[in-house]
Amino acid sequence: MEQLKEQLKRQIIEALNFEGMKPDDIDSSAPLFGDGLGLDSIDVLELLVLLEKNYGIKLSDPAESKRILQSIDTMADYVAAHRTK
Amino acid sequence: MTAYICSTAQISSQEPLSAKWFTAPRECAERCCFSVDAQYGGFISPMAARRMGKLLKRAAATSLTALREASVEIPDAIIFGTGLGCMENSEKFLSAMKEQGEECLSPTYFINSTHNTIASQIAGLLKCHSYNNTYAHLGVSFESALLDSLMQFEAGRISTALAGGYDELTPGVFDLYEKAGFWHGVGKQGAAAGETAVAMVLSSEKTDSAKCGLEDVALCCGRPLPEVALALEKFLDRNGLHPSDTDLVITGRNGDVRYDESYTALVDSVFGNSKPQACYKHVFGESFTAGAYGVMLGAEVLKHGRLLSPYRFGTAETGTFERILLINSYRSRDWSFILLAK
Repeated sequence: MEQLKEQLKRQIIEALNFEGMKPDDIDSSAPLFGDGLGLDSIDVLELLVLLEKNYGIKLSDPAESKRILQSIDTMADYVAAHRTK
Repeated sequence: MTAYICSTAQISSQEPLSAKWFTAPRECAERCCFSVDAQYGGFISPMAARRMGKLLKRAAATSLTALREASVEIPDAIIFGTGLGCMENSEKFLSAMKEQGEECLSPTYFINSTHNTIASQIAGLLKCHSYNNTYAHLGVSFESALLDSLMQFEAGRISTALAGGYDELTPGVFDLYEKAGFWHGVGKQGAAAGETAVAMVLSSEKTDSAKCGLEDVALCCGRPLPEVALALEKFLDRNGLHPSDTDLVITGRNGDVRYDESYTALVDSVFGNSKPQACYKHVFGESFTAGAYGVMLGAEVLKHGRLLSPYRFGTAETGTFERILLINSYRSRDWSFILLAK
């Protein structure tokens, strides 16, 4: 699971173009939106693309997406259970 | 109606966001004038910068610099011209479409691949909710933006405008246009390639910092040269001018022997062969919106009352500068005329 979290952090840094940021700079339990990493609505779309492209996971329910994309921890849990690639 | 050019800012092959290009320009390299980027940290937050390609960063830096120099916080209009928009991000989007079978595409690259993303993102940066328009008309894109600006002033809808021209050159675009014979090749056919990032603040009021007046703009597209000459004579006439009333003609000569001859023929037919002339594309390179550098040059010549030798073309003696005509063309097909006055 730790390896998956590390991988997700690297993919998020690349997809969202956080220049100079390292995986260790992201707290796995911290919120990705608002006070945490400070992501916004366009970033939600980027994360949905990231999950589909890398793990074959398609999220269409906004409420479910909001719950899954809360933090690296919640993303990793969902990916581990539902990934198709 | 006269609008006034209150400030200009550029990022080009010259020193970025500086006025050194006027007094000590570096000549363009033989085939390509890639721009020298500025430090963008002082203009854009890291969170905003991560979604911006280099052209958007140049647009932000030039726009904010021009606005600051004109002491304008929020303009009444943002009107830009771009030939191809943000090509770096467009290429990324198109490459991803091809490689990923049109699925799982980045929304950021999609947003940035649209032509009007530059003007709209500057509006977002400034929180400017007023008139916002983009002209993507190849070689008359910037001139169309300037024409719209002037029309907005004439209609009384605005009192300030942020106008600009933006185009970037990626290695991919350079190669494609090279194959199409745009850049310097055998027999001096082709120009030196360039990029454009120019912002200027226009005002209906003649402020203390105003460089010059923008008197008139006209386009003449797809017409043979004799008709272009007639259109130019009509343009001067509607401004109450005889050809001898202009003190300098700044042309968009770019060193391409195929098209520079048409500037010679046009200027000679309307003004005779003794009209003082200037050019600028040997310094900034050719791009769809390179005409913005010509306006920048004309504004500085009128402000300072002098034309330095790097920009002179021909041997005609210059006198005082009260009125300058700019003539630009895209491959001798689409022409624009701009009249500036002190």
